[in-house]
Order: sequence, then C-alpha cells, then structure tokens
Amino acid sequence: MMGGYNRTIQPAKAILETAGVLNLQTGDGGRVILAQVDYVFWIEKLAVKVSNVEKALALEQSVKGKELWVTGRVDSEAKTKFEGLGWKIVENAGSRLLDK
Amino acid sequence: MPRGAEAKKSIFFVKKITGFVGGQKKRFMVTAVPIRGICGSLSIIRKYPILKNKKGLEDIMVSRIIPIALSLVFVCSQAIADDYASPPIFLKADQVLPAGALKGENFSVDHEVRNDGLINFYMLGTNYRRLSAESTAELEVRIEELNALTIMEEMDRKNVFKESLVTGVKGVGEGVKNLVTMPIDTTKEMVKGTGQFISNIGQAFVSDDPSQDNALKVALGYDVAKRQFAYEFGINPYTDYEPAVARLGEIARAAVAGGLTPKVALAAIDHPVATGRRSGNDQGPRTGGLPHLRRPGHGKIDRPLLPANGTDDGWV
Repeated sequence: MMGGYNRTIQPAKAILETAGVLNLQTGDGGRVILAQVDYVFWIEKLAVKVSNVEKALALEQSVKGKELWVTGRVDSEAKTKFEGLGWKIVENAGSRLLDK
Repeated sequence: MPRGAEAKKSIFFVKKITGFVGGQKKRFMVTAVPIRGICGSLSIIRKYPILKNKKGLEDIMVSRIIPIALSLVFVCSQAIADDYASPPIFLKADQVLPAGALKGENFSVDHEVRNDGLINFYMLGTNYRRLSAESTAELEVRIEELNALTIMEEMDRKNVFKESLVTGVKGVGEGVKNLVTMPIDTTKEMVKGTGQFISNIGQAFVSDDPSQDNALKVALGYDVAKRQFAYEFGINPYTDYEPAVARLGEIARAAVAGGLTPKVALAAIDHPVATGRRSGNDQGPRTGGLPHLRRPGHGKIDRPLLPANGTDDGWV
C-alpha cells in the first residue's frame, strides 16, 4: 500500500515509525497510515494505539495533516473519533493503492 | 470511562469524605469508575480503608457516598467515557461483500461474519468441506480458487483430456527422449526465455518445500503447465487449498501427458477464461515466477478477483 501511495497519490518523503506504527511522511509534512483492514471499529486496543500515536505526533511540531487509508471500511463511530482527532479517513483504498 | 483496564488505570476521581461509623467520625477515600451510565456506577463504588462495620457502611452509602458518587460519575462519564465496540462484532455478509461473492456454484458464504475490530472472519460452506477465511483478502483468494475448481471440474466432465490422455504415454516418452538427446534445445524450448525452468530443476532437488514439484515433473514440463493453468484460472499455483492443489495437479499432468496447452484445453468449455474475456490474459508470467502477483502482507495473488467489473469497491 505504501508503494501504491508513493506511485499513485504523491511521493513519500520517508517511512517512519511512530509509537510502533509505520507511516509515511509526505512532502508537505503530513503523515499517512496505511492499513489493509476490512472493517474498523473503535475498539479499546485501537483507541490506545491511536492515543499513543497522537502523543508521539504531538511531540513533533512539524506534523501537518494526518491521514488513515484503509482497504476496507471504517465504522461511523470510529470515523467520528478519528475525525475528532484531526484524521482524514480514506476508505476502500485498495482499488487505488493496490494492483498498480 | 468505560469498561476495561484503561479506565481502571486512570481512575479519574478520588474523593475523600468524612463519615460517621458507630457514632465515631472517620475519613474515607472513595473511588469510582463509571462503567456504563448511572447503573454501572452503583456497582463500582469502592472505599479505602475497607469498612469492617456493616452498619457503618450502610450509613455512609446512604448518607454520603451514593449522592457524591452518582453526581461525579454522571459528570465524569459524560466527559471522558468512550463507548468502545466489543469484539467479536457480528456483521452480515451481504453488507460487507458484493453479491457475486456471497454464493457460487460450489460455495456459499455464511451470513454471519465475525470481526475482531479490524479484520473480518468468514466461514464458507463448499462442495468439499467447510472453509474459513481470515480477512476479505483471503476470502477473495478462496473464492477465486473455488471458481477455478468449477471450471476444472467442467473440463473433467467434458472429457477435455480424454483424447490427449490416450496419446499421453507417447507424449511423455517423446518429451523425455528429447530432453536426453537434445538437452539444451529442449530446455530452451521449455524455458521460453523465463529462466525459471533451470531454477526450478535446482530447487526440485534441494527443496523441502512440499509444493515444489520433483525433478521429473519439472523436467517433463509439469511445473510450467501447472503455472500456465493456474494463471489462466487466476489462482496461485502454489496455493495451499487442497482441492485446488489436487485438481490443478491432475490437469497439469494430463495436459503435459497429452501435449495440450491451457488455451486449447480451455477452448473446450464455454467459460470467460477460455474465451479470453478475462482481463489481461496476454500479460503476466504464465511460465515465470509470481512474486509480483503477490499482495504484500498476504502472500496471495495481487489482482482484483471479483467482481467482474474489475474494481474491488464492493469489498470491505
């Protein structure tokens, strides 16, 4: 998915690890997490993970924009939580990022 | 905060209160963790130190703790409570899969789909045995294999290989003879520029991989034929799905024995694969390796499999 994003969406500046989560750094300072998941619900494990990522990103003042790309779908409640934290959600990303 | 350890880790209010037990004034510390609304709060009131006097406990709960706890729990739970979804989460197959993936000639996906918060877990009834698929990506692969099995069985029903098998022994003999008398030319002919044949011959002698065909099969072109058929069917030649492995092997052996190419064999049945309706049927490594067909992280074929419109928008 990272390769697909780099090829078809925009060139990535770096692959980074933030609180144990691999993500792309874009040229404009944004961060993109790409996940091949089917249906995302706001479960406790995810909330903890997101919280840790948020804390780590908060220490980096240069982060401009956060995106989560998933191959599947995101439940409306989870979407609300992510968007509330400033994340942009892109669903059904498989057709754009894979098979290229 | 809700259910779960995270809530307990961050008990958000600790209230020191003064109460009277047995006519004596004592100080207590009350903590509360709201679970789900007010009802939950009644069951999680704790106090330190633990009161030994039951009467005193009742006095305090009635007079002080409950009103304080209820008010604090209500306010705090509204402020920080998260309603986490509790896995497993049950979904309906027709809500997460395109119609074409729900049922096929030889399979049917169970209506109930389990989700662990991120990944869907499917069960399928098939003509062979029940199957599970851990993720939609794996389900796609399994369905494609099941669809391929339908085609392979149709080829069998129509005796596509019957004639070729009659002359099969002669074909095999010629192949071996040519390999011995004209090893270089024959090898070149079989490799057809892929370079994989030699590699597979080497692997056949040293590999412990059960899906690696033995040297004789490789030498006879079985390895190439299996991959050619797998390509035409849109499945991984090294799949671990036993019915597909067995049937693909039978077809490859029959094709090699009878000198049938996949195109000729498939032409005998009226199927998109045979009539060239499948997209990109002239591209790709029919005789080469498959690494670029694999989907990262899944080890599966990296190609949209269903639905027929070539997009995977219907899949979640």
